Amino acid sequence: MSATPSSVTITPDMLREYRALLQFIHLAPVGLVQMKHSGDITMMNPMATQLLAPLGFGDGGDLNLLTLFDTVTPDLRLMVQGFSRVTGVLCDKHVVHMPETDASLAAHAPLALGVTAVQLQADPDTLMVVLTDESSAIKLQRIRATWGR
Amino acid sequence: MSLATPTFDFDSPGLCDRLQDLPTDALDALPFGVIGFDASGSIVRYNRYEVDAAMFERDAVIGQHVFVELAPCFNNYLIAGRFDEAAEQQQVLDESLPYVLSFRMRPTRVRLRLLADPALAWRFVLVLRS
Repeated sequence: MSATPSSVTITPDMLREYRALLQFIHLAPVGLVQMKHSGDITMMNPMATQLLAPLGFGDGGDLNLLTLFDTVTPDLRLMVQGFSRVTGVLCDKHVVHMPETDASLAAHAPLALGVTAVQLQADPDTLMVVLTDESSAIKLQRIRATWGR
Repeated sequence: MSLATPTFDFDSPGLCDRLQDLPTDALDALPFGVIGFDASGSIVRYNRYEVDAAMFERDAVIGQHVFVELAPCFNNYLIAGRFDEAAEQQQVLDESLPYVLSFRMRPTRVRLRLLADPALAWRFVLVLRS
């Protein structure tokens, strides 16, 4: 007889593996977000919270990635709405320039994010979004622009 | 055994001082999470509200590093960085901010209060869940 979910016994080894997996995801140096096509966030890791903070994430608005990005990259919403394939990449390191932040945080807040969005085949209403800090690339661009003058 | 009635709430003034020596039963009666740690980051206080909300046993948490082991989601410039800056500048820290915890990867809206005082041994992160 196959075990039903309610009859599965959580062993100490399983619990240890689960916690190790959570820690692995928590310590990932990129932001990971799982969201619905509406933009509602269903899962995320701490780095995503940190990278989205300059956009006011958590300040009382919806926990909705597309709403959050509407002010800085409304084209992301259009990409999601216009994507009709079963699976695939909607955007790959789409650069989003971040607004200026409080002076006390400016030294640490990202200048720009790279947004990669992938349609998951397992669920037609679910997207996986990877957020990367693109500050170094932006700083390098600025330095190169200065050299060219 | 009845729990002590809390005499203050999340926004009460002077909490960093009052939480230093608060008896465990009074700490456990507070309607918000309390995570207390020393200058090295080692957790020294963890109340019942936080045990129930985060589902980590107190005995397992005490002695862990707050930003490395218990709450890596606080290990950034918004939270841990504030404590570091306050310590470097020998300043009192008492700031509240909205935050989104990724508790078991689920976004959870909370309010945090960050408390530190160079004259006091223990620092605190208070967590108020709506």
